[in-house]
Amino acid sequence: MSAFTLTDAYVSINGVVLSDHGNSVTVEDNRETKDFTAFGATSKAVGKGLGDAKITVRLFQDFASGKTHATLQPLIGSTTPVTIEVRATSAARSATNPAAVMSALLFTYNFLQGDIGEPSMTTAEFSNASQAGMTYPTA
Amino acid sequence: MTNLYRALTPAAEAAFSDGVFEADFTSSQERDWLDSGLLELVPRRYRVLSDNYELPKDNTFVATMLVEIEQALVGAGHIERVDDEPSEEDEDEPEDEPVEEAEASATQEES
Repeated sequence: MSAFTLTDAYVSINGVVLSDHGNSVTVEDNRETKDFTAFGATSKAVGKGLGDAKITVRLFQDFASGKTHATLQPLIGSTTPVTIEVRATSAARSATNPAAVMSALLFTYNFLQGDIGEPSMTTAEFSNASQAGMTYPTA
Repeated sequence: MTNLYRALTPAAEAAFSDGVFEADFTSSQERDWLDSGLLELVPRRYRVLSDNYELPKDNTFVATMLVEIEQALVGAGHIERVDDEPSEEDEDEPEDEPVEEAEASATQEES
């Protein structure tokens, strides 16, 4: 796959595919920056600390059964991690369409956000909840 | 919401039940018991109700789900339980009602 335009991203939350309600997704896989600079150094020496991961999804709000609110609202009160998977396209996982998968907790759920005359959107932020962190399976 | 569990040690059997049993644990209680290795989840059958679950609508599947995961999916209308009672190992349970009484009550209902 060469450079591409994002048109058909796949978003699955707790086994529920909400791609048809989404229009923005961000997958972050981070490592803390640690400063190991000691006396006598002339430049900073930095190393990596603990890993962290986050997936942010912006979705059109929908209060129908099985849609955005019904799927996300139980997760904000839940302490059990759920699997969230994001792919660049809705095609099956492959070497050229890898998935980003993590076991996550929902930490932010914006029930209602928007301006007059604009579509009602909601943003959901999932943070890593397992030692595996973000994984990138291709099959 | 209750879930199905199986006791894995004599101590757990003494505390709960032999074989498969249903219990109404909180999510943290459930996590503690499962992490301790004393209990395991028992698979149950579900039917897909929505058109955006990872399996096609109306399909049935067997899975073990943590209580909060199941609550989230059932509450959102994505899946429903197909069998509400233990289906794997409930053959050992004795009949509550003798055969004659069952027949009698069935006859009464018919009349």
